[in-house]
Amino acid sequence: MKKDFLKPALIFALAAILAGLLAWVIPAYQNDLFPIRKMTWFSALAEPAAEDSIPSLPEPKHYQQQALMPFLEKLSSMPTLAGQMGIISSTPDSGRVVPSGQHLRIAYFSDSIIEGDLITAPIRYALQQNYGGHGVGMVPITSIVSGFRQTIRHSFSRNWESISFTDTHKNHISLGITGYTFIPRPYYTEAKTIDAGAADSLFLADSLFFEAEQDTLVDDDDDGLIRYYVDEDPWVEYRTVDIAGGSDSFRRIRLFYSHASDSSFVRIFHDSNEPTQRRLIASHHLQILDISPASPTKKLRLEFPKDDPIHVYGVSFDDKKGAYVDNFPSRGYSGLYFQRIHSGLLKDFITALNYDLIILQYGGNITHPDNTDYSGYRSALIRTIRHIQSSAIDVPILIAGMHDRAVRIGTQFQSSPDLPLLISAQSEAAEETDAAFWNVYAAMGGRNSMLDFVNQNPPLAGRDYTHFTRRGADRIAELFLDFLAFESTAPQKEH
Amino acid sequence: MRHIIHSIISSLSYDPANPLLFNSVFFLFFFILVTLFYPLVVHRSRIRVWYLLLASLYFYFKTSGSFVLLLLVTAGLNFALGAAIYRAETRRGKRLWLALSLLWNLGSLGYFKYTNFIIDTFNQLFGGSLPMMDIFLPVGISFFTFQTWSYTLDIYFKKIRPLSSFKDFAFFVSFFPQLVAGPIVRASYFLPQIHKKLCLNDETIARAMILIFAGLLKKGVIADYLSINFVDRVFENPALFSGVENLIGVYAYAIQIYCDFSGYSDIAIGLAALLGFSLPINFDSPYKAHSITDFWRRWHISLSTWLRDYLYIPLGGNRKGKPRQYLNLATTMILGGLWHGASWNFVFWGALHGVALIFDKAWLSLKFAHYRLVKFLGIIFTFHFVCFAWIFFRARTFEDARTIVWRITTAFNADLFSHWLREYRIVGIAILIGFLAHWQPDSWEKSYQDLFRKMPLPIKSLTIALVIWILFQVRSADLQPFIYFQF
Repeated sequence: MKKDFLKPALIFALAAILAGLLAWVIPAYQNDLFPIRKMTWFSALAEPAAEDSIPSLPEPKHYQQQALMPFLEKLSSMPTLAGQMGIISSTPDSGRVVPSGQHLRIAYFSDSIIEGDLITAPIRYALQQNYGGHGVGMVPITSIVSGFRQTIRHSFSRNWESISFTDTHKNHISLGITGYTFIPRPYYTEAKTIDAGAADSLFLADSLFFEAEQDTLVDDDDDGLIRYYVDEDPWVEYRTVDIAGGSDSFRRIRLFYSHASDSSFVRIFHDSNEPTQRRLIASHHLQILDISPASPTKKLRLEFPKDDPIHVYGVSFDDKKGAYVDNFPSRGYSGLYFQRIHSGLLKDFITALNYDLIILQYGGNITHPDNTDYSGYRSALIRTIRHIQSSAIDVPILIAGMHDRAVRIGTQFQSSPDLPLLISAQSEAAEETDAAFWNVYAAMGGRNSMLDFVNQNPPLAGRDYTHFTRRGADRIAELFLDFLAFESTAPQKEH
Repeated sequence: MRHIIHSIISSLSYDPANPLLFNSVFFLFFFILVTLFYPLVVHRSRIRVWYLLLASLYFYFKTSGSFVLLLLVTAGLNFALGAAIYRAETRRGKRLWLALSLLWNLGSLGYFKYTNFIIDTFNQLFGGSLPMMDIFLPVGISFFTFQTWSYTLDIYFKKIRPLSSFKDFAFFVSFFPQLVAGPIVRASYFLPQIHKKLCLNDETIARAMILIFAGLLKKGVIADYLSINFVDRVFENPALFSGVENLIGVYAYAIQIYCDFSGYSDIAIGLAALLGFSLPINFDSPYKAHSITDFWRRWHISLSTWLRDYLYIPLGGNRKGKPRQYLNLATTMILGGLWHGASWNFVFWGALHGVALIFDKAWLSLKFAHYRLVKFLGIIFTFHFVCFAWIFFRARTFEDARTIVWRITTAFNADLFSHWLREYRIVGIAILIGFLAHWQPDSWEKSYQDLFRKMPLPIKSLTIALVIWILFQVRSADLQPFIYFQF
């Protein structure tokens, strides 16, 4: 009888030994469906974790933070709303004034981590609390995440062609400032798949591209997608949402477009009023149509003729005064080859929108745990920054470094080991181009801080150990404001 | 060598970041050690109780650190109150002691589990700004509290007599297989086994092993893989996904929660059986249920029977007229919902099931409902109702749950399914295997047992080694990248 009770121990003990044997015998096997790894069994106990091999982070002393000075100075001299404290310390006599005609605007470019107005909405909210402002800034015509965005209710018909950074074969069509160009079509196409974590193919193809002639408008049908023809005119509709980072009404509304013909027009519906029809100006340069309502409204609908392939870039909701943060996410995008926004158009946009700061926060579609060389990336990033600088003279550029992201190493999640290299490449590119640099990775808490983000309750980041939750994005926004406050008080560095 | 010794010693203490789980390597060695010396004590019941009690307390220490003291205090109080109820001569006296037991059990459960929920609800209702408290929920408190509570209740209802030895009682409460995630074992079920002469035959070993395999694969392969690679993402940001992905997310969650929960129960039952103890069955293929009433006879049986016997029946059950019965059903299910976690979502989930049970009472009284075809359609309908309710169970907020329903009903995008399948092949396969295994005929399980029983011992071990290898592969697999579909 006793012997029976020994059986489980024997079975399990032998199993533990056999598992060691299996670990030893079965090799790793790479395949597409499910890669087999070499099992670590007893060896996991014996080997100390290889922390020493992780490269170190760049030294902050090289950061060109003086590039931010014009922006910080403007921020500290902007009049704040009565009774509010400035985001950063202001000179004693400039506070407590009703906002005058001052306008502050930030273009925040990034990948999927700011989709749905994450990070940008809380920054906008904080700035508008201090400096006033009505509106969410520039909004694209269609968006894959319109249902996710909470700061504006945004809907649209399906028959818009949307061209983005990732549509490499449409190189001749310049993108707008949003990173997209939208063309009214009598049809829509089937869904596309975008991998938000994979390396952006643009990075690999970067050297092949050149800035194409702007006027060679070719109707490029070669996208291999099935078209479904429809009868309705393409439309887009926006409604205000009165939450933090949103706004309770539309004040100034401007439509940005180009490539209209003499017969082009747009139908405009404010709230539930009768539509008005406005002529568009035929030109291949950026055109701005002011369609502001006579008094603040809550709903806007635009309709375009389906057979008129004009280039529509987006609608800006703002006011003449106050602070604005434009949310420009491009899913799956590496941040390289900004040349897809052609110089002339970029310049026109930057002048029209009067930016005070351009932020580029990328890296999520570049990082890979096995990467050890980011010199090619660094050069491409320098080209991108120079391209923007040539169109945005005197506008400070801030490079926000890659945030912490964890991957599985063995059975454990750890920071991707390449991140310090990637972040170094980013800070070097910033240094080389006199752009400022914000080390998001360090601000989050450095190595393995993503694990803390994921394990918070409620979590600050998703279980892909890459994307932030709304709460986590609020945290990043806080860190950004802390960074601005810190830089404005930090003693000037020697350079 | 020094490093190995150091890491072994450091692994023996409690690590809050890595609480002990059945599907961990540490547990394997813990269990080997327990079973290795078990034959020496198995037939001396007093030493056996001490042996398993100490092993169990250590197990709980590895899971929850110093909360092991809370476990002992709860056990001590209920032990004393049980005796007091028994000794009290008047009905009033018995009630008083039972009320004290109720106060302690509900109080400790309430404090650890519901304080912040109550503060939050208060703040929302009255616009207050009471700060949340930093309370760490002890693992398994919902389970062991219900176990100790069943003891005082069973004494009050005269189903059992109190134990004379606190050591025996502490063993019943802390027995490690079922301690942290059930089944909830009744005092009346387990106490008679404590000093029984135990035996173990090949039949039992085979049955236990099959349960452990199934449990490990359900928990470590299906549930863990689906959760991290798909389900969590959808429920984290449902608005980012199309309706079809949300729907797959809900189905995937249905199989994930079943595999997670029942897998853990299966392992518990299997481990206990290898030590010679019997624990009640906790899940009986719940998605084969043809009505919600039937579902609750198959899902977390130890909880539903607990609620039936200690809540529904004492409330009056069906003995006080229809309206009262319906009220009792709803109350039981709402409180049952709240048992699962502190949020209004769980209350709503419980209420949904409560309403469905009321509807069921009327429906099942119709002859028509028992036709074969109707029963078959009932399985499909019941499954979907349960899935619908899971949305509220799993979603972080009520708003999120509404978003999921809204995405499924207004932005379905069926044409994305083939894209999804291409990108999420493994997730698709895991869901399919999960459901196929779930819906396989009951009789097949017996044949696995027979097969396993006939295997020579080394082959049995090899099978376990293979399961370990598979668990390792799943746990170290790369994350399925976030794929988004442009729609």
